[in-house]
Amino acid sequence: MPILEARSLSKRFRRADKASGFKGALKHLVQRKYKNFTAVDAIDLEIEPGESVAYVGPNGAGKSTTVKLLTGILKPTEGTVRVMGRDPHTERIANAHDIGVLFGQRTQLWWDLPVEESLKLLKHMYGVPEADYKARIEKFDELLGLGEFMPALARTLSLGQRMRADLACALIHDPKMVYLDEPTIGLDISVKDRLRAFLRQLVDDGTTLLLTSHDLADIEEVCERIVVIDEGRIAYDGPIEQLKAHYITTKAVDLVLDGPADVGSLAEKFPHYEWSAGEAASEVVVTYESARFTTAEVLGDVTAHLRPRDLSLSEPSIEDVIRRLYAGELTK
Amino acid sequence: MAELIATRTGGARHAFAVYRRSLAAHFRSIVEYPADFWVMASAGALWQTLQFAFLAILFANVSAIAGWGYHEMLVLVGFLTLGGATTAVFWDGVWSIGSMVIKGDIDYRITRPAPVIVQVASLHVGMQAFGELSLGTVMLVYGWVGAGLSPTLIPLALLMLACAVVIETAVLTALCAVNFWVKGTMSVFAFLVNDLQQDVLRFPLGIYPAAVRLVAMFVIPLAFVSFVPVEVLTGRASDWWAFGPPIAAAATAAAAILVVRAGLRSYDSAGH
Amino acid sequence: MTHTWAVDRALAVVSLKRRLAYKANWVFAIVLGGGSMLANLALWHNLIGEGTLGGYDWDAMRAYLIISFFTATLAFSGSDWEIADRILDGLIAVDLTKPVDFQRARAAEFIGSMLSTVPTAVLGVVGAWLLFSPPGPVSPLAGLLTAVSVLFVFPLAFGITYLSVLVCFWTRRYLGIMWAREALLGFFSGMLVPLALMPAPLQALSWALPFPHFTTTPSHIYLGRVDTAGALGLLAAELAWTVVLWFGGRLVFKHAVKKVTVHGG
Repeated sequence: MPILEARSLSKRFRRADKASGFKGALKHLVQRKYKNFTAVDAIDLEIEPGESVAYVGPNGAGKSTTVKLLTGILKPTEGTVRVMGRDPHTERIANAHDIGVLFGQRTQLWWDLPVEESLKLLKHMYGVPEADYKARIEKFDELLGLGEFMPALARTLSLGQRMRADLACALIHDPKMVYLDEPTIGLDISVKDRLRAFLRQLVDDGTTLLLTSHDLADIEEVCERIVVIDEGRIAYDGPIEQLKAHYITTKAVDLVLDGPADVGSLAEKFPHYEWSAGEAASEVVVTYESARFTTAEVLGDVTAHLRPRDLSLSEPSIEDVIRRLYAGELTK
Repeated sequence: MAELIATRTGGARHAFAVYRRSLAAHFRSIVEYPADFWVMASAGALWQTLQFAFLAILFANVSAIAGWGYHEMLVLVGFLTLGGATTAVFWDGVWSIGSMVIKGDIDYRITRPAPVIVQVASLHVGMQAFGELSLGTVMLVYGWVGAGLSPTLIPLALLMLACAVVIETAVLTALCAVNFWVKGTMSVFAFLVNDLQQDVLRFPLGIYPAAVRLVAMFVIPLAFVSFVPVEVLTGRASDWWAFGPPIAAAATAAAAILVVRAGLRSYDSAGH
Repeated sequence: MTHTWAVDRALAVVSLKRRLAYKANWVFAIVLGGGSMLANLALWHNLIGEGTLGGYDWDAMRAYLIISFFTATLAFSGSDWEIADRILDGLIAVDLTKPVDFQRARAAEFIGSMLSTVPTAVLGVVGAWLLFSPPGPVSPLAGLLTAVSVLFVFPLAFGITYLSVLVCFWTRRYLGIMWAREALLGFFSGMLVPLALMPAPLQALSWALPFPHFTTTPSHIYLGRVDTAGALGLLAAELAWTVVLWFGGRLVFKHAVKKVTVHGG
């Protein structure tokens, strides 16, 4: 049985359609006009226990709204959500015990209090037994380096510290279903790496995870399944590996030559590969279908004709694929 | 049914525990950063000292305001001050509803297993209130003794003071919750009503036109915070009026709960 | 420093426009100030009746309270929080890198924001005038000098506010400081109770402070409680306070800003 189940989930917002300024406000009072705006449009989503799902899409695609619907913050306009069999909006308190939520843009720490006090308050709020609390804090300290800023006031933390503390807040009650909305936003590389390692560990320990991020490295390192949303609808849903296998069908070799590269004559000579100019005049890129040719074959052909000073292999990133998915160039 | 009642009372007990711990944590942080506390508490004490001085100056020149003597006026201002200050100590967080709605900070509170309003109200302690509480108590006690009120009235006074706190809290909560609909970082309505209350209800309602009295009693029943209790205590109103404050407390509390619930229902989270 | 009047004017206009954009502020100021004025009118009507108090009869008291409403609306409308927030957030370090005089720039903004409430204050006065028809000034000259004394409310309000806001260099919050300042201003200006009713030592103390010039000075001149020479003396005192507060602000700022430099901004 899935841990999370959304059936034709929709959210429409009603926005006041009024002119700006005082006049507009007055007019709006007399004749109320509204525009409907569909943020989430009939989404079906099922997540099995232990899955790690990436939820991606361009800005304004409906990611955050979906997360708010799934966590019970918003009431769906249509459709249903069930988390462990419960409606998260109407059974808010019961549901709260099973879920952990992090919004990277905002903090849930008590602003005027030391981090430790925030965690203790949450411990009591969720009724976490003292022994479990201690064990988890110890684990968070080990993996996230929480100890160094436990006594600091929340408002004095750096962004990286704040995010680590917020992650601890979201997980202090060992929730079964965890939603992370942009958990690495604005962080530097070293903190990102640390967070990703932590999230991988979390998934390995059997926690179900739904993660939204603009950083696809987060997704590739943490998640197995990817759901791409665009304009409120699901554009792709499946394993990341399959997405790659399906769409990443070519490979490329970047060659650096001694002199200027003549792309035209190379294309004449090896017409079964695709040739294009590189970043510098002496660079050239050869692209080939990985199903038809092995890299060794390509390199053999090339080095028989050219003496490259340097070469490097590259594969289109998942980022390219998703960018093309958004752009509507790819369909499933 | 029994099970439902059990979870209901369990929920209330849990909510209260959450509230108590959150406030306690803030009290601890006050102790750790005392400079803020002293600035705020001194400001509160200064306000009330000057309020006291105002009455003293007034009564050096006149003998009564609408029939109320100096000491009775002190009891009146004492009730007004203690009602507001107690609310500021225990429920000051509601002032931030407006900015939390705009920033989407209500979100996290919805995902936690405790009533949202309890989590919000315990987010802050109004430290000025400590100065106000001490001066308010001084005025109330000094006025009480000076007016020759009987000690046997103390239980009634305490009961009405408790009702005053409930009314203040409820009115403040409902007015701040208006920010669920009228978006703004400042709780304009609460601020306006609070300020007008300080200006208007510091004097006996007898000096005002009847319309003011009607509004203060039956529209926003803040008269039951200070004016009615002191009328009862000084024997100006019949004993039946002692039922006024509890009734007003129940009515405003019910109204506040309804407004907050409706506000949370219409909450649509910030744009992003 | 290349600080010119053009800069001052630009800052004042921006600040004025920003305030005017919030239409709610207008309603807000009039409800607050107007409510307080009406409550005071009710109180003093009840107290004075047909007699007098501290030399004020009901006619004079009506004028006193309306003048008090006008100056209070101006005095409490400045953009004090904007300055305080700059100091508390450390944004002041950025301000110090700009080729403008910090105090002058803030003064321009402050006065711009005060100007935004002039329409509200005038509207309130006109309304009160129609409802309560207070007596006019004791003479045309007194009327003129009253207007001049009210103009001094602008620099005086800035001077006092600025000095109090600078305390934020030493605290983490502004709210308590604001309340303390407003309490002192309300009491010692005579807004709460006319100075004439206070015991002599308290009156002497008040007159040793800048606060009476917000309410008592304009109303004294208006009602003829001082003669022309006295009025000019009070205006001179206002001028003196304006200068003292201005240079006091400079002195404290010089001291306070060392903290920013020490902390490295």
